Amino acid sequence: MSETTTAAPATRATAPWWTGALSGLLAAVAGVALGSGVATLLGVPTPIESVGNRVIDLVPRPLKEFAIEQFGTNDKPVLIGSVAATLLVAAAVAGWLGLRRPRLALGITALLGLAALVTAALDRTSTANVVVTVIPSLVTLAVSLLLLVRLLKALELSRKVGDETPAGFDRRAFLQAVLIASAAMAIGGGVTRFLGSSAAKDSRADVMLPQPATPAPAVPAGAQADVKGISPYITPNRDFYRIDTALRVPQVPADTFNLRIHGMVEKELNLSFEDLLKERLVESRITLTCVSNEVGGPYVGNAAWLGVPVAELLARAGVKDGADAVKTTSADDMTIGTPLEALTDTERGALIAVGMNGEPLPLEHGFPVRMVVPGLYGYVSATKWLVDIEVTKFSDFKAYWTTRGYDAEAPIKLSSRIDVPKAFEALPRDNVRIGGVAWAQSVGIERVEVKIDDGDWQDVDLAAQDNVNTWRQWSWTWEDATEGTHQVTVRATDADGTTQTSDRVPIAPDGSTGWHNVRFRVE
Amino acid sequence: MRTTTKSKSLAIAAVASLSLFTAACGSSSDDSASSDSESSSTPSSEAASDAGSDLVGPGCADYAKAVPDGAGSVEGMAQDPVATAASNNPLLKTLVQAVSGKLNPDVNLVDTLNGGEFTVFAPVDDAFAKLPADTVKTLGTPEGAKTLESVLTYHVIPGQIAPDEIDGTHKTVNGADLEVTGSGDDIKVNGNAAVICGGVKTANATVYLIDSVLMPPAS
Repeated sequence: MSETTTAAPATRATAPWWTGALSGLLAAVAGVALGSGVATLLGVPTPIESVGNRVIDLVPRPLKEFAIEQFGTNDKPVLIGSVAATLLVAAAVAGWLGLRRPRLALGITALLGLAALVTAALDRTSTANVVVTVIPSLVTLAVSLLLLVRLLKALELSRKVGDETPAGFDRRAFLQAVLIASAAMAIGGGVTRFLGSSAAKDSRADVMLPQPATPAPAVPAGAQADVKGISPYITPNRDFYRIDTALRVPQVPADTFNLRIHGMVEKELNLSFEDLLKERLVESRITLTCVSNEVGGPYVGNAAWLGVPVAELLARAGVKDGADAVKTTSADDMTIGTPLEALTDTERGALIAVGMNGEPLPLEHGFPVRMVVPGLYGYVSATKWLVDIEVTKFSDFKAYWTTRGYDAEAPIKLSSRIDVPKAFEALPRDNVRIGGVAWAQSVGIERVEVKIDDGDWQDVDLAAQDNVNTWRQWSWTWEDATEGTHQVTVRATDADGTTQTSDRVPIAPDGSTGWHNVRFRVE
Repeated sequence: MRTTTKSKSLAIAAVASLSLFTAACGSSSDDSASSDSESSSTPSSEAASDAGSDLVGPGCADYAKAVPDGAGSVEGMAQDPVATAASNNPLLKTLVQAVSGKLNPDVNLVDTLNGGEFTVFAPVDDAFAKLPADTVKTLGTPEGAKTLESVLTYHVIPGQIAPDEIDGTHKTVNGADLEVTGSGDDIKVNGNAAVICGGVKTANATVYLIDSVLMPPAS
């Protein structure tokens, strides 16, 4: 860069423009990084998270829809990225302006910092009190201001007494300030990166589920059949099948959670997680089934669910005439369509669930809130990470799976399964114990039969029925068994008198059918 | 400015540390539970993306080219139980008929094969074509049911065995042993059946496509 020469400068000379812009950037980034580090150590949201969440709330709907259309599930990161980019541009501009008008630059920085402070104070994802939650933004504000002052000061052109030509700026001081800013960024960024954990996981650890107003009756004695190796009557959470389309488990903290009920209703409802916990909670045991469960497959499980009856919330919102469907949306924008009458049917007992087997929903099973509807396959009912319920008409939308060749209405088909013997297992001739499960949600299992090879159908011992929405265990001993390889086949009959068909159909479009069989050995 | 290099190095140092900004932004929302699942055309819990990473045998590339996607591809089969996966594999039509009661109505192993963890040596259609016509005919008769079942169960080993552990003697569901030798593109079962493509994952079983039907030793 050339020295200024003959003419006296019309305006005050400054250090090169990019040093100002850089200063603004460094001050902002270092402030945010240190603020994030402090937030991580305190266990509260970082300034970027708070601002990001607030901005997403404020983005006008057309812009939000544009983002969802263009970027799909990346819409949130793109929106937050835009916030960050805007901040960086503003910081750079402030720094550049600060070369000439340092107080203007500080004013802009202070305003940005104040905005972060306000969003932090309003941030509902925080599990700490307001005072603690705003500390990181205070740190960001202070650090940014101090660094900017230091950097701009270093960039002031010195004047030798009596010399018309300004000398260069104080490089050593500038370098020092840059290094301090870099160190702040490194420390703050490192702490945030390596000590950060999920707000959703933390908020789940803080959830205290209340006792249900309507607890489930005790599991009847004898609901668990006495066969070694049979499924446990209640499926433990860690073993419960998991089928979904989520590429990564959505992280939804309970504290920011909001369930919106809207659409063809008289009154829109918005419920926080705390609101849901304060409702009259019902506990009931329900067996869920996935439509992609092949004959004899593992995608079925039984658990005790704690939640609010969907019918109650829909009645409170006031369902309008003409509606026949409910479109539910999960936090990762998965959509599920359910027949309205399945949700308003108080006897069926569909739940907005907050608890599974005595604990808050595990993250991969839908924390903090999901829907559970007895008698319907999961793909038309069991929305996880539930955030939106819209009462509507089937003719007005297509949910995810119905767009992909699965039926819109999907009652769970009458089924049964042999748990013991396992495939090709060898059983001792004097104790050929056979057992398994059968299910006909909403109807109940009345009878289960087995046959060995091509023999006659025999009635088995049915374990006690819990309720019509749970599976029912069964067991049988093959007396006078003969040695060798054999096949056992099972079929169930429901309380309406319908017996399972032997026809094999594939899982699409509405679930598999057929009698399950297992080949085993008697020794 | 007097020294541009010094200014440049300042700029570089500053920009380099700006990269930590992304660390501050992105970290807290990165956590996910240990089990991820793949977006797919059927609801599924399998991570099919690395289904093809452990394959051995000279025919895998050709197979991937012939069946690049869909239910019969390497990734597609990873999501289905083994008998269902085989039914979508264009090289295993005869085997599927044999296990599903179409060759012999008294022999249907579909549910049983779908119901446990196994390693399956799957003879391709050409392998069955090598058998004498009379043999195949007999296997379809009521008298041949036991033999057919014995032959089929001779191709099944309890538990999933990966290619790097497939060598050695293994007891089959049939009760008789088989022996696997070799590695990479040259793996043989009982010294004469070659593995065309092995280590193919299905939801419950690891499959090795072979070019000959294995015969259990006469008992």
